[in-house]
Amino acid sequence: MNLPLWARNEETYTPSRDRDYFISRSLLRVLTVVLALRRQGRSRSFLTAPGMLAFLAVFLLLTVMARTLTFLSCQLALELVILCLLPGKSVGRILGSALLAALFSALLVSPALLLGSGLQVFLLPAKSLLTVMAVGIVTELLPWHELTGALRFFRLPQELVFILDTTLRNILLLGQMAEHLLTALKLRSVGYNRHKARALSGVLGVLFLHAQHLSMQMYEAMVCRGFTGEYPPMQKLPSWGGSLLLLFVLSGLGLLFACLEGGILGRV
Amino acid sequence: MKQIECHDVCYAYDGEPVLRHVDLAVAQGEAVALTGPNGAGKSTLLRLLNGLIFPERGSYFFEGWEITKKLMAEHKYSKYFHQRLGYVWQNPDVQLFCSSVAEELAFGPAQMGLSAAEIDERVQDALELFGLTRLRDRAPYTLSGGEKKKAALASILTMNPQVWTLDEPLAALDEKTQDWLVEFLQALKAAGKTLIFSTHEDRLLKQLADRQLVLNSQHEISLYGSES
Repeated sequence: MNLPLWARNEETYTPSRDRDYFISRSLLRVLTVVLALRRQGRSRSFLTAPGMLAFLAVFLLLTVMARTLTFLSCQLALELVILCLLPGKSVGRILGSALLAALFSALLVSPALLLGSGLQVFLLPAKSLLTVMAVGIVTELLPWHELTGALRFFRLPQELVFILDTTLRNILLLGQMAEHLLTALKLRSVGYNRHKARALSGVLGVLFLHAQHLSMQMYEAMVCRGFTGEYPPMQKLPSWGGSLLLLFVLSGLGLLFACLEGGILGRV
Repeated sequence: MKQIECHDVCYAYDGEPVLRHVDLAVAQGEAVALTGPNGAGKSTLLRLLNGLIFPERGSYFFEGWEITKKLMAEHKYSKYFHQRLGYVWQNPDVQLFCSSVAEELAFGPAQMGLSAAEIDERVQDALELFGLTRLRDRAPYTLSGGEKKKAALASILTMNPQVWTLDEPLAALDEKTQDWLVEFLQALKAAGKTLIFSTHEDRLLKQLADRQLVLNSQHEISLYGSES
């Protein structure tokens, strides 16, 4: 086999100055999502998914209904106790996003403080902080595949569970593919590129085609393994220990809510 | 000075060691095969050689430059480095992102600022060499596995790197395409290019490799052929 003359010679190439933050930033975003999904492998058998989802729903309901900072402080104390049991990296991640949400809310309501609304103004940022922290903690403790299983436990429509299930699986697979495509693009972007957005749109186009192909293949593979469009409800009953603990904590919260927000309940 | 040198390189994913105390020296024009069981760290070593990840301990030198995160953050050097060192992925699907084969092949030379005539010449030569001329306007996504592999190789060839790193180059190819690919890699070697490839195939070891480097399941080099 004869290589062309230019391929037999050594290339003398001096790159011009050009920054590729555009590609690097896109790559970083994709990596963040993929890493977040990859972390979702651990399962805590002590606390079951349906129990945790039910707990989260009631917890958030109480947060929304609360009208005093005292009750919200109690909820915060509970969340901080749970955070103490998590690894440092997870705590940093959860607190980071929660504080960001709280700060954003605080910025939105800050004009009300100038108009003399008092401490009540801080209710919204506090609720944002609690809500994002609660969702972050549940996400950290609950793998995605258990989430879809738990949805069937609550008898949600099969179509919704199927769409959520395949979406979560595809996000991970396509995320990995996007990571590789962007890396390949970065490796070959060795010069001044005035059409970075065009190159990235090529990556998106390829991803779209793969997404179609992948979902079709996944559905066929599921059919070949006996999938008939039905997700059977979870057979495994929630473990008594974990459920009792959640019920106990929830009862305590309910009691606190009744005591501290009693006036509100009376008015309702 | 060797073209590529690794001294006591260690790397871990989430605290799990993937490379342990890897020492490696590759001279210009050498063909080095990386072998070992699945999960031994072959692909990780290739990623490290391509400056995609960096040693947690030890050092990696490319043509005398220590490849560090800081150096690769310098855009001018990183672009020079990526032109000198081509990476062919095991799965060609993740390497092809343009809307046609010709565009895919022209991407690298266009980045390097070559003239339109030079780009055209390289694309045409590569299409002919790889037997892809009739597919020049086809979307890479629609090609067969072997054709995709050829398009991926051609897209690197048009950049004319001095060092080729290939991850399982013969994987999932039929006998005929494998024969062709071995011949192509031999031609690259004859042209003085450095080749570093991971493989499980005996034929690549026999027909191409100057040296074999075995990464064992402990992620250490257990067999290191004599250096040329």
